[in-house]
Amino acid sequence: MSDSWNINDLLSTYWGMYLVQIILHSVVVAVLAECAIMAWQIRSPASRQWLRVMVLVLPLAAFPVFQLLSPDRGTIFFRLQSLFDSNRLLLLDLPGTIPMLVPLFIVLGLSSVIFLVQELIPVITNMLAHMRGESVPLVEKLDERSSEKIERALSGLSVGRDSVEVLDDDDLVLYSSTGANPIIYVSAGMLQQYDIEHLQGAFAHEIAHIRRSRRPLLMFAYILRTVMFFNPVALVEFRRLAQEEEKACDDYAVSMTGKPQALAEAISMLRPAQTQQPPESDGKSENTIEIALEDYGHDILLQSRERRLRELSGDIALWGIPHIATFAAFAVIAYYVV
Amino acid sequence: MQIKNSRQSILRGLVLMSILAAVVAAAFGGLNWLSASLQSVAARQFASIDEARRSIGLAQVSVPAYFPEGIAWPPSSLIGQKKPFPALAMEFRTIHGSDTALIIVQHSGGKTARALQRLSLSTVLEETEYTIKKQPVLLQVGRCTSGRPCSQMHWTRAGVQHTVLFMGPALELIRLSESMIH
Repeated sequence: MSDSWNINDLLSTYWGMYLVQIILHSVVVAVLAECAIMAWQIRSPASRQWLRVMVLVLPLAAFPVFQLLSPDRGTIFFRLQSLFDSNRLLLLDLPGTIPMLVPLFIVLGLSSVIFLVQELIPVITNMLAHMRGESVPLVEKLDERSSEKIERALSGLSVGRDSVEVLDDDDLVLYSSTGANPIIYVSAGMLQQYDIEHLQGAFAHEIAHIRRSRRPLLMFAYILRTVMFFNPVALVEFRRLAQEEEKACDDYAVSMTGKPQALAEAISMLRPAQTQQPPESDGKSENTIEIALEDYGHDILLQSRERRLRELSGDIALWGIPHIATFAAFAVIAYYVV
Repeated sequence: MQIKNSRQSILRGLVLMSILAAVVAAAFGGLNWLSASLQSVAARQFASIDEARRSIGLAQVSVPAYFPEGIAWPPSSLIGQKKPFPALAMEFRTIHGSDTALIIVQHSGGKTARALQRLSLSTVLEETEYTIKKQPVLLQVGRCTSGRPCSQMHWTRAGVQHTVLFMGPALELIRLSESMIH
């Protein structure tokens, strides 16, 4: 019993209130961002990205700003008049006198573990592998046909032949490194299976990644997401932000090539041949199911990118009104959510 | 034509967004009401001191036997909570005014009474520690967050922290506190 009271005491500290309000305000702004997308039928990935960035920025900034504007916000008098007092919910005792705070801590703990295992450790492992010079072997002597294919695909894309390296891999692999000397890595398998227009679309997509990396919105978002490692809403929103980045790069690529259909076909070829179904646990090992789930998620993204490119249409000019309206609605609602 | 379409879309979006934002606010309000209906452990208003005493679970709730002249009885506001820590805040007004003249906060657990006070001591001009009926107390004289001169007495007895804030002379506060300590 005394342990439960100690946990409850956390809620009346500055940091306890900050933690709880980060989660609550994340929910508020995430829902409002979805409402804005729905209300204005926003399709532009760049515009959607700014809404997702708001989901990562506003919850971190809101509590200190609100406390500065109104130091009485932490008092019970303010809580009594608030729209939502988190204490009312979190201090409830579940059956068996388990405080409602326990499920909250379980969710925060799970979110932290997912961040650690799926995001932080892979980044560190990749960095270490890069520092050790480990990489997929490159094709040393490229045949003339493949070399010509690369050159023709690159024509009009303002990138030289020396910016493309060919990986000795029969699978369809394409990625790029950013930095001072960016390189596009394409697999020998992709060179074989893609025609010139498909390759041009794929290269243009990677060039878009390289150019957009100079406006490091994703890096900024990643830092905020790292700060909020415990926040499940930030976890979901950061992933959606990264998915929007892919779509933004598709748009950039189409603006360079003027061939949305070719890029859609190139994306379609990356998808497995059979129609994907959600994985079921029919006695498979947990690892297999995890990989199947990842593949399924990846396929859903590819499918949505392909569909979007086939029905490509622009947003009408909204002059940032959805973002301003989302911010205003957040400020008004979140102020009274304590 | 395109600008006209754009304006119409923006206006339509604004109306829809306003409705959706109102739905979000209503959902939070509904959840707030539902949690309060399930269990009343967080801060709420009480109609009487007896009701508060029964619900909160404070080891003791002291009420002054002496009131400075001009303070209205019963308390104008009685707010208490069972969790995160048991606490009761009583506010008293002057007989002929609407301003809060006296605040009595009693709580066990929680570091300070600040979150339980609508007004608090913002500037301490003088501070004295002494004992009343063998009970160590801390008397502070200064200015309140409202800008008015005020004085505050603080002591801890049987695990319950008592804070009495009075918008008036310290001498009256001492007499009032003495009547609470047995």
